[in-house]
Amino acid sequence: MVLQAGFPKRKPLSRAGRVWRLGVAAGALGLLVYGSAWGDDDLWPFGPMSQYSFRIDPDGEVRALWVEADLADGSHCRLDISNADDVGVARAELEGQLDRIIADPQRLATLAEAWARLHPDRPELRRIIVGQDVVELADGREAGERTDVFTSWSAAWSATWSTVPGAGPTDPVPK
Amino acid sequence: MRAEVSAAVTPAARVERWFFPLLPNSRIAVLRAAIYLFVVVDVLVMVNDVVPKASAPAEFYTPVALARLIHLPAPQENVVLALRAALVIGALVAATNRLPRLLGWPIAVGHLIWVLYGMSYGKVDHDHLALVVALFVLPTVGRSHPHDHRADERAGWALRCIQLAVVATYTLSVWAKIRYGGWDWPSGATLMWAVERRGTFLGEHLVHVPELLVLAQWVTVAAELAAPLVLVLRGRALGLAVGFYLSFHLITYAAISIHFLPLVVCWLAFAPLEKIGQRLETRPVSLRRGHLARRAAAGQAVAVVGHEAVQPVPDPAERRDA
Repeated sequence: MVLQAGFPKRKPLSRAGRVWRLGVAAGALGLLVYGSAWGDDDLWPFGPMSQYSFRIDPDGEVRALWVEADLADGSHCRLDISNADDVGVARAELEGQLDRIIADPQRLATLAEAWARLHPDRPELRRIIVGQDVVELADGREAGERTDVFTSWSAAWSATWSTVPGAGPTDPVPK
Repeated sequence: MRAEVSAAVTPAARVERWFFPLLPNSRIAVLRAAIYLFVVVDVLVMVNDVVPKASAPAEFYTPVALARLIHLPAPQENVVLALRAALVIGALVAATNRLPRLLGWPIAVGHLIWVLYGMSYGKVDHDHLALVVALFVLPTVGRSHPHDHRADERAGWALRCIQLAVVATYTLSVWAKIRYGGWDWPSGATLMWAVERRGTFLGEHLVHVPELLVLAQWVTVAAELAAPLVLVLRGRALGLAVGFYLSFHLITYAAISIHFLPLVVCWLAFAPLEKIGQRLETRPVSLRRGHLARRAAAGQAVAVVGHEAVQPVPDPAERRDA
């Protein structure tokens, strides 16, 4: 409903009030256009609206990160990274930093620290393994499955190794 | 005569007039209640991982540009707990249309800091643009009241900004798809990827009909491209269009549990929310004694909205001015 002339009006805006409002709107629209053309997520909230903007090759792969751990009581479990409750960060954050984790698996120690802080009553994490479940596609359909293991960290040895020679995490989160 | 009038309207004046539509102040009053109530939901449910993130190691804090610009330090658990409490309490009060500026500005800044923390751990969400815009433009309207149906340029500008942010979220996402995915994005397997990774019960079934997923990708791009139409549609057509976009989100949620709720709430900026205020006015007399008392104080002016006579309630701030 746009009201017609003659309708009771609140005090109209001053010239200055109009000018700064138009300026702010133009500035924000300019930032949005700049972000979409040249920016990236770093420019949030003016960055490109890149949700699901990557294209998955119908003959490519679907990868999903997982984090598993050996606990101090000898059990082994897959951590819940669907939210940040288990180790302080969730799947998407971990995937965003996966390259850095693989380059320096010692970073996984911080997940164990977060676990200890968030779950003081549960056995601590002694070893953390990071990998991906891979669904292979053919012509847009499921054609096969496999598991890639990328790296791990162990509290006992405070040492690390890479378990997948030659099978780097190509494009874990497609951009 | 008519030719003279249209010749006098330059494109610049037209743009200016478009940015300042005369919309009823009461629309802002209802929108304010909805947006501020949603801030509570946003802080407690949507972006609810700021507190666990604050207890995660600081190495994982990778502040986005805006956070670096304002030198936002890595979140401290007690600080974000206090911020959350302040935002929830402040938003609940602001939802009653009290202290529109005194509460509105701190909430806009506080909420921005909250979501900046949420977006500074390697991943950003793209559903918050319109909500952030809404929180920053609402305080500029100043006072609003659900029974004040007077035309208000401030309200018009604020609503336009929110509407533009809603539309931009869709249309700019097509640009991003072309930029990152390429022109052949719609023929890819992106939805398949989404369903495989976070598919719901419905999604698990969709895995077996990839053709439907490809069709959905084409429909998505078409709908996102067409979004600016809602800026010119009116009445029933606008209602149908908004209904279409809301169904789009409902289906997306059902299939891959992506909700975009902060954006969905901002669709309210397109709705004739002032009708809620009018509905309240036509309730039985006994229920609106307080309003009648205000009317008595208000004087005699009678305004007409649609086919109904309505009484404007004067803005106390403006009464003071006068």
